[in-house]
Amino acid sequence: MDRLACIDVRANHDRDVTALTERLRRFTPDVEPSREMPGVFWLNAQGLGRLYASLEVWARAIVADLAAAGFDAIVVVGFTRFGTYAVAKSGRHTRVFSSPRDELAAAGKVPLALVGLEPPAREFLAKLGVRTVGAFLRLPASAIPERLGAAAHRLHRLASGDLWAPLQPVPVPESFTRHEDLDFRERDGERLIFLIKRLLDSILADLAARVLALSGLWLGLTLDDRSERRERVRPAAPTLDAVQLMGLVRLRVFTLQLSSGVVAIHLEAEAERASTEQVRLFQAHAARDPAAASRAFARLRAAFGDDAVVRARLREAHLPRARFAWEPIDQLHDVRGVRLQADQIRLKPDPTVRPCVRRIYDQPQMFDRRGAGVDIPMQGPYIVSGRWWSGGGSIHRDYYFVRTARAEVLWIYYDRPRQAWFLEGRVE
Amino acid sequence: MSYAALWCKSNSSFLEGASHPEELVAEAHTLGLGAIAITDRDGVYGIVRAWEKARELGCPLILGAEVTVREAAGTSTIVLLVQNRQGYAHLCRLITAGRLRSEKGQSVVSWDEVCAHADGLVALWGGDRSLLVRDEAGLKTCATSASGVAAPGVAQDFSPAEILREAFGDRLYAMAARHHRDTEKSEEARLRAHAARLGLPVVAAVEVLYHTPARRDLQDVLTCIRHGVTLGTAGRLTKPNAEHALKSPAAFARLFADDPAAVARTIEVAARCAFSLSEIRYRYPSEHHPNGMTSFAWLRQLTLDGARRRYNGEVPAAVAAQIEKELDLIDALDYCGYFLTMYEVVEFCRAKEILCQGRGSAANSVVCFCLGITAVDPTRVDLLFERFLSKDRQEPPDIDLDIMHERREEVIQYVYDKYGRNHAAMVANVIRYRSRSAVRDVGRAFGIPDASLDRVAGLLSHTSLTPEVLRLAGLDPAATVYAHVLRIAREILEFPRHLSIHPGGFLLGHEPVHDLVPIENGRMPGRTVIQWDKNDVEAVGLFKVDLLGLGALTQMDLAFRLLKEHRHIDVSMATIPDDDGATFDMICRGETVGVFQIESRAQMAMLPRLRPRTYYDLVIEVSIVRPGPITGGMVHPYLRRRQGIERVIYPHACLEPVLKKTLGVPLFQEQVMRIAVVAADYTPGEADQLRRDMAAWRRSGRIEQHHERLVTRMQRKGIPADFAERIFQQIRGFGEYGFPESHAASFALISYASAYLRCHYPSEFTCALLNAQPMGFYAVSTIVEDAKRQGVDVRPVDVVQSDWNCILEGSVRLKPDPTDFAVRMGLRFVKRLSEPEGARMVAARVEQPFASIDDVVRRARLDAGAVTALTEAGAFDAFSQSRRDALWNVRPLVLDARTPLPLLTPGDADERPAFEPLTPFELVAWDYQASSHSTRGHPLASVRDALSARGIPDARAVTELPDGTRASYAGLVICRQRPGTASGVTFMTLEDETGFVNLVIWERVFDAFPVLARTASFLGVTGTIQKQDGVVHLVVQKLWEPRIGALPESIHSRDFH
Repeated sequence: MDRLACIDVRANHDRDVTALTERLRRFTPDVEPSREMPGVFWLNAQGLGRLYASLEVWARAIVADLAAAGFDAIVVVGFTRFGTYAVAKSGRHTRVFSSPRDELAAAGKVPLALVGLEPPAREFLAKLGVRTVGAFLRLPASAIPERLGAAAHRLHRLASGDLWAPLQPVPVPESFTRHEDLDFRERDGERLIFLIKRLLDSILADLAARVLALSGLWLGLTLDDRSERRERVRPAAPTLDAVQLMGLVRLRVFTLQLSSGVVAIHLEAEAERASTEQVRLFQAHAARDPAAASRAFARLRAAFGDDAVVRARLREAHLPRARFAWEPIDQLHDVRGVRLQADQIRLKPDPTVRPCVRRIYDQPQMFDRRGAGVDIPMQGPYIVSGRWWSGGGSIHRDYYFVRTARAEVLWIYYDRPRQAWFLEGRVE
Repeated sequence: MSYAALWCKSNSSFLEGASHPEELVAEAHTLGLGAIAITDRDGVYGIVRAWEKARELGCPLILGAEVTVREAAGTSTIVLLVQNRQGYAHLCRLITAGRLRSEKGQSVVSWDEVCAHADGLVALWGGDRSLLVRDEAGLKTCATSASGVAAPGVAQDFSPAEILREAFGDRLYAMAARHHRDTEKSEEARLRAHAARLGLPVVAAVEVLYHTPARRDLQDVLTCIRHGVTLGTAGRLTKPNAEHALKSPAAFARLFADDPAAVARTIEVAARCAFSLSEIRYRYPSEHHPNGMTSFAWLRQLTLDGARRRYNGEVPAAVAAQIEKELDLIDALDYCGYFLTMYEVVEFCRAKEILCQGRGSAANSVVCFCLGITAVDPTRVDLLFERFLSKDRQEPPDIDLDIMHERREEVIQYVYDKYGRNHAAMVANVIRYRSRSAVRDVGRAFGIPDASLDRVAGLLSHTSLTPEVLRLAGLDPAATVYAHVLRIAREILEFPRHLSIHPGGFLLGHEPVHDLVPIENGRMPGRTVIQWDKNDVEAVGLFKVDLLGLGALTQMDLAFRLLKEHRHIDVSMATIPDDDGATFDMICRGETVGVFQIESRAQMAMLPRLRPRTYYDLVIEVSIVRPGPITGGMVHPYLRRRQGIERVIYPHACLEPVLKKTLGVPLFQEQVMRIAVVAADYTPGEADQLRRDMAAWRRSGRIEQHHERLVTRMQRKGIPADFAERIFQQIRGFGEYGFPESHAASFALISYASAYLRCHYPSEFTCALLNAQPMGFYAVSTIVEDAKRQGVDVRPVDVVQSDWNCILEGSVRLKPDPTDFAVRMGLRFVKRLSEPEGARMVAARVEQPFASIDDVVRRARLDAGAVTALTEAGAFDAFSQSRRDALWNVRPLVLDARTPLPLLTPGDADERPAFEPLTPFELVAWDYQASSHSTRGHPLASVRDALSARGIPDARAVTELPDGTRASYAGLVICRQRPGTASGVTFMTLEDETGFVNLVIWERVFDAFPVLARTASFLGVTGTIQKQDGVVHLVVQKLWEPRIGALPESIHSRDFH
């Protein structure tokens, strides 16, 4: 029978599964992380007793390696997925079973609470006095589904060996990267663009062969002064269009302020399949071309950074500054849901009301009321107070609109806790 | 210049206003306002309290409401103020219309309805939720009915302004409200533009939500509770600032400095609203009587007929004289209709064989006795009629009718049918925040997890909310958030949370009730409820008819029926022998589990000391374990005199007639009043005022006014100062929980009857008590254990034998009485089994006995939950399957409760696994889990050996230990009590399979073991035995956790009630 090891890593490892898988590959090429139980891994141990002094030594080496990386792990080497898993879950020490019979005996003593049986089923079985895997296995398999459900039935089949599945190791991921060390310090942007294009074409050819499209491109530049620059450009939709991509790369490269010449270029592509929605984006509405808008967004992002394209979202709050938030938008369809309601549109402007625009500053500025020649408020105070419950202290602001000696209309407030005036914005 | 606050919402605008109505009125008075209007949201819940306070302070008060109106989209509001009695009736009718068509807690009316009720009302149109602050398009609303359907023939694009102006005329004002909000400027501009166009005068206002800005935090929290959000996520649901407090005249004038005319107009509006609740003239419903007799003549005839029946045709002269005296007074006060109503309700009960009995001060009336309303002959126990009815006080009589709770709904519906929904509605019961609900709701508003709040609430059963409680719950009271929670939770105490229905109070009126107070839907189908509680009704001088449900009467009725059915004994409350020695012997031993009124732990402890031997002794027993006599220091003197240890003396000769029947010690409320009359020269009217002040002392401190008068006058008559002082202390005690003799006299009748049944027919008594649950003091498990200790054969739930209720079966035990019966527990005690399911089982079994579990399930059409519940309760044991086997076999249903149980196929038998049989302990544990009791054994019986091995005696052994012995004991906690009269002492009762042990836990001991003392269900204690007059207590010095196996989780004690 093939030898198999179960490893139970007892730590908060949600984010570390990939890293742990990589780490465990040092001990065997076939590593299968459990999708249902993060932290559980099955390893192919077949033949490894010959590479190491014994399977015990191999198992201890794994434990030691994981411990060095800060993980507490139990390794159980045996013959079945469930048997090794159950013993790993209940045990405190590394174990290596020499026969399937020993493994079965040990697994039979494991409490049901430790092997992932759902609480309702577990509680029901507890009423019947069935509390261990062994007692569970003595129940007739055919009676399980209608009494305990499909999950328990699957567990029963797993435990009884009825449900055998071969090890499904994670394949080694493919990488769409290209690297080129330059023999000289390249300072010319156009030449740099051509160098990048050559590498990018190669990547796009690989992607096309795998029916994938590029959804993001990491551009790494190593400079002569040993510093590194890493930039990311994103097309509006996954694409294999080299012209469009190079347009974005060009925009980004020409905004970079490089401290010295480039001595190495590294490209890394993110790939995915284009969705039908994205395809539709390029087909809809001849008059207004959302795809063109999305491409324009992409160019803006490429030129000014990822936070360059945003929209305001209104929020329910009292402080003026808290009543909206800027949020980035990736695609035009992000804002399609925003439609003006008929009653929000004033078709006939009220002639008695002069439309004004309030410009709100990024940050309130300290305000010298006397220096600005402000005496009599035009309007106010509008009082906002609250947040008395927060640990950061309460707020109390008296807002005013005031006219200055230079006939500017300012939006100011008096902050009572801080006993100071601030300029919130101005009215135009 | 002063002003009138015309738009004020109190905390009777549930979860919106943050001040009591009284606080608003008092603050308005302090600030020197011209008037204050209480305008709660769609209701007048708080106006009586406000009116009482305004009357006390002499503060001008305007009544009104903020009314919600349906619009084409959403709702808007308008404030209506009452000018006169007609306007008040219109407001009540309008709110009633809005409430009755809406879900509980909601109300909505149409503009047409507002206009139809305009007479006598002033309308203030404004505020941020009104149409008048919207633009021209917003002002136009679809003319709709309140249900939202467009009125036929009316243009859709319609403004209510015109019809409002037409209906209200010059009583329609535009209300400009200012709170320093940034949108108010434009809103007010639109309001003023509309007002100018419509020719409406503008009146100034603030939407007042609290009397002081300090309540703003609380108002924020109330808003969060109302909307189910947290402070962090409330956004603009909370107000932006603290500008909703009552303002001083100067501040108000500054706020409207640009429009002093609008300020002056508030006074003009106030002057137009002169209505006061004192203008309400209440008339009791009158009816046509036989032969055109007047109500008085008819009442007189019924009373005299009744007297002849009660006194076997020979009415004693004194009784006849008393009847005439009472009838004259009843007639003079025009209360005949009220007595006739009570008579008719009693007659209805009698005709329908619904057991009922009047109680309260009505027992002081021989007329009530003759009409059959009460069962106590007041001349037999020398009861004081003036306690019931007095010419000196303008106060309606109070007749409480106890009705067997199982059938009370029939009586309620009879009253509705007889008087109609417009003339009869139930009195409200305002549910107010207590410490547990306060900490839960406030904590949620702060976003504290429910699990943490549950821990705090679990510790709050008897203590006030203190930092210590938070600490015990694992929370840091010094943290900002918890300090806020603590502060706000204390502030919110006594705030109304929602409206409920009084247990049985009815308001009846000759005029429609909705002209007196708005009516709304109760949560219970078929119930309508007014917006005032019993105190409000009483304060306004309205009549309340109390139809109260009493479980003990249900129990009596059931027991009498069992006796008739099984023993062919026809017995009733009236025919039970009233001097049965065996019954009194049992009472004297304190064996009174399940006996009405004398079953509590404190009563049980008192019985061996007081040793009741007569009915009147029981009257005293019922009354003496009360805060009044205890805080007045009257209990021990009475007991000593009764036992002959102390001589009976009277502080003054004039008190001998008053105190003779209680051996010179005042125990009853009536005696206190009489003492005031004879020893302190109070007039009967003053004495009654004293009674009312006693009832109100906690609220207003009015009782203190009597202190000097009483004590000084008594001393002047030669009564010792210490006695006079004790009398006053007792008056205070009565104020906390008054218990009049007449009340005790009515209750003692039921106490004696239930004791008689317990003594002579324990099976019938137990069976009836179980079927009358929920009622009384003890859990089902305690009742079953007590019955078993009495020798009653209590049998488990069994689908082959059990009905829905418990039944009697022939007993096979060897008993002194061969006709004794066993009690078979009913299906009603199986958790998760519904009554319809139980009924189907019983009906199927009547057709043909059940042959198997499959047979039960198939014919009774049981679903999975019911089958599982029955299985776990052992109700299928008769089919010779172990519970585990049965559970395995019925399990397939659990995964799909809607499908009928498939019958087991023959092949299934081969697949059946073998399960371990349940141990005796597991059997009992399963019983408790499934039905909260076990007839098979007590949970502690199975661990008795382990307890004995540790030297822990059982309850029976503890009671036999000599006084002063140091002892340890472990038992199940069945009740915890910390009466206010006990100076911080906690009383606990522990139970095991042999009986009870009563614990006394001093405060310092309790505080040393706070979590165990408050929460443990299985508790170990060590202390010293205290034995006196046959009463045994274990005075605890240490509490500990017995670590002996697991006990059933479903054991719960009755805590701090």
